[in-house]
Amino acid sequence: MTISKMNGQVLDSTTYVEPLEREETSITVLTVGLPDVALDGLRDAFQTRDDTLDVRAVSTEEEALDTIADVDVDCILSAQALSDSSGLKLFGSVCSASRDRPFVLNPADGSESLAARAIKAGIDGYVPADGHSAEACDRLAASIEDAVADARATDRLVETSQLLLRLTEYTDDTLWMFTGDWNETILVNAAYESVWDRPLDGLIEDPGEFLDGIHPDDREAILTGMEVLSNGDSTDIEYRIATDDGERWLSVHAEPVFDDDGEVAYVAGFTRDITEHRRRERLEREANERLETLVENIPVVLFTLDSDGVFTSSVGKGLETLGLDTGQLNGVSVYDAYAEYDDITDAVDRALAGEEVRVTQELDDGLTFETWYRPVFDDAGDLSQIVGVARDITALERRHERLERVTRATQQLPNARSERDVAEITVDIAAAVIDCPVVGWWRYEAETDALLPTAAAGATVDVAGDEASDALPKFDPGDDVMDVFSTGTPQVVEEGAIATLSLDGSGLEALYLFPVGDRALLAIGSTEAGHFEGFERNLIEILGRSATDALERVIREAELESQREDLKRSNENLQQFAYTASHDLQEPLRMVASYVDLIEQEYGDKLDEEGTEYVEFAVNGARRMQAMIDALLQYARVQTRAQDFEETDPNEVLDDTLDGLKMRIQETNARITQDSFPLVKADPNQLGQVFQNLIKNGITHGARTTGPPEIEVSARATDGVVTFLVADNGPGIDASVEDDVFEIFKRGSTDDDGTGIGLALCQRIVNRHDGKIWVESSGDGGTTLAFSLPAPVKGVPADD
Amino acid sequence: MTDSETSQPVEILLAEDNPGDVKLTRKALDKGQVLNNLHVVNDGIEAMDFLQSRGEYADSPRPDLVLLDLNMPRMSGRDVLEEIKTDAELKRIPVVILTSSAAEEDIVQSYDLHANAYLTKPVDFDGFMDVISRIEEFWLTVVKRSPK
Repeated sequence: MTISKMNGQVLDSTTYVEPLEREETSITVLTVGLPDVALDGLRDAFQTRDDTLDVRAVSTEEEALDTIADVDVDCILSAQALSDSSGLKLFGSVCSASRDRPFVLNPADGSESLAARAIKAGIDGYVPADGHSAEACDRLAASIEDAVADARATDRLVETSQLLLRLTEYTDDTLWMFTGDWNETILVNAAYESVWDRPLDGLIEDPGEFLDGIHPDDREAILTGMEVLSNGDSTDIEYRIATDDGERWLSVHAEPVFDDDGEVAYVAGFTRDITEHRRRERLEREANERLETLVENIPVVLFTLDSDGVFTSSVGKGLETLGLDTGQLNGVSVYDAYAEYDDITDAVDRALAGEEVRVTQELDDGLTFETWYRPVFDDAGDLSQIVGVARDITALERRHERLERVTRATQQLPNARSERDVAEITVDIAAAVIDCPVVGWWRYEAETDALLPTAAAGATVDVAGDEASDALPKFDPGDDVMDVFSTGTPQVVEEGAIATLSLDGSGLEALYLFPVGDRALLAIGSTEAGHFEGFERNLIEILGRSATDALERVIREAELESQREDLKRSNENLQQFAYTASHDLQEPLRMVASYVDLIEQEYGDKLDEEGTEYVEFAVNGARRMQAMIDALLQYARVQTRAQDFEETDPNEVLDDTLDGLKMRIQETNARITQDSFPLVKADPNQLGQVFQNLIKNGITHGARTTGPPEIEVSARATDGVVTFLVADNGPGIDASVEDDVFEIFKRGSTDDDGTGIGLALCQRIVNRHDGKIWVESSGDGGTTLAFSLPAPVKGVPADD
Repeated sequence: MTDSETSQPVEILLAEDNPGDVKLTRKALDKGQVLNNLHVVNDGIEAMDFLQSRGEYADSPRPDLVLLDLNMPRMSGRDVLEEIKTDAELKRIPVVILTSSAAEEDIVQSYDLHANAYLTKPVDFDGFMDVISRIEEFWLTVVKRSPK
């Protein structure tokens, strides 16, 4: 604490100011009108003092004023009586002429009235001469020393004050001082203008002017604060002002300044612009609040572990499901809290070893958490802690499980064989797997345009017993359920929205109506309003779509089956027809042929040449017709007389066939060459028929050339298929009929005597074997017919 | 085989509804080597009456051979064959099936019913003669050997 003395007054301040050091100084004193004895006495008196004395002595006021104009004197010591003036007058002249400097009056004859006048004028020292005795001179010296010291202290104070004022130029805070009654502005710095955006002059003029800038909502608080100050208490207020740049936040700290009587003389304070500070503070607070809200509400547990695996923090909404409070785990080691969960302790072990770990752990109470552990390292690279996030994925897991169960259950649907199967499987899945309380299935009957109950499960069954579906209503055109069905779009119906399927009294709050294509309606009821939202709905839709597919498939299969049956029946009828026709046609044919024959035999000698020829035509025609009937019968029998496919050696079959054709071959001198063939999977009799027909065919065509017929039978095997090639040296098939040669009664040429059924028969046989038959090539060099048969599944032994 | 045996006419019952076939058969047998008495019935009922010597056939002889057409009105040749072969008195009489069908069903069914032979009626008369020759052959070589 530094105590400065000014004009005899002590100022109390905690501010440090460099003190005036009391050191030996020189005091220049201008003496005016003092006798030599006084000057000698004064010099003597200073002999014993710290300060040295330098005396400039003059006699008159005029000389004195001239001297102080030239010389810097520390103190003026004047007699009262001067030749041209008086001491008091000189004091007045000095005060008006130059700066204030200590003035000590040394009247030769002191009087009370002079002393009073001197003090009243503001003279610093009054010391009567008292004949300039040693004591008097000593008092005079002391007075001079005091006055000079005071003056020097004052100078110092002024200097310090100026520095202080200069400091106020440099601060952004508004410093201010008003009189205690707020009527007069004592001090305010220029910061006022920049902060308040108002002219300084206005405030100087009227101290209350600043109130106009204050936000209306805060004005009351400021007025109260002003009153508090005036009443002698300090105040701190944060308030807003309106400026051209917008609203600003200010913070003021103000103190009352008391006078000697303890009255509030001044009020002073400083006002700081805290707009930016507040903004930052607000942002930070908001960010913190957001983060806090976030952390407390996200369904996870955020935690930290120290390097020993002890919880140092734990927060998050996920704690609720674990029955824990924020921070409750703090101080507990993971190794104690989760000792029985190896996955967790292993994960922490690994995280503590520096690894980032993610584990899914099912806890004993059925909860499943997915937890992520991440080690954190300090600057030195040492593990400082582990941060972790644990997410409750129980619901997610449960959904996964349910979805999987539903998906698995719907895999039964492809096994359904009838519409009823699909209905029953579907309602069972809905009730047992999706856990729907009430499930019903209505089949749409197009003839009556009605929905008929087909199957039911869940509570419906408990209520109605085995024949649950009988207890369900039937829906007719115009019913609102029917309307939903006809849209083809699944729809959730809340209680009361559907009249014909009343939910009243059923305890059901919601219905989900799922049209199964345009063939059926699946209705699922729930006792919970809003049950059919989100996931539950998805599950039912998965089931519904699977049921739709299954139903479509079942119906399509039934249609196919019925078509197959029809086709089979029609085929059988056709076979029967072909058989009967060929059988019954034989008899009249025989009559014609036999009796024409008899005519020839018995009346041949009575016929002329032409008559004989007619008879021949008739007999030939009858024979041909019989051949055709036989062929037709054979054709019909490809299916009815079929034998199972077996591993067949085509070499043997061909040998037997050629044996059967021996006569024909001899007659025509035909040359048959044959390859060796791999085994095939075939009906050997039918393969023989194919060979027979193709070779006969080849011989017939080959016979139409000049040389003998040449037939070559070869084969090639590729990818489980054996292709046989039968080539002849005939004139070839006309390209325009190439595609038709396999049609029944179509003949490769008009001049052969075939029945036109051989190739059709071959095609029918080959097709039955899942093979193909085609004209490989045809032209002047002959015709090659080809057919393919499947090879046996297991290794085909090579014959050569 | 003796001359006396061969000179004895063979009693043949022909069950056939088609007069054309009847005539052809008769003609063929006339041209053949075996002396025979041909009796003709036109359906299965008549055939059984003849075989059982009933009604107008009360005096009918027991045939040595039955030529049986499969397709006849009222009672088919199959049914006749079945009755003959299940009748202790008649089952030893050889039965030759004559049919216009080459269908295997007929063959299989007929043999299942123990027909002694099965012959398809050919389309012309020469063929028919062949068939009758085979019947005669059959008669001479097989039937005459078996005890009556």
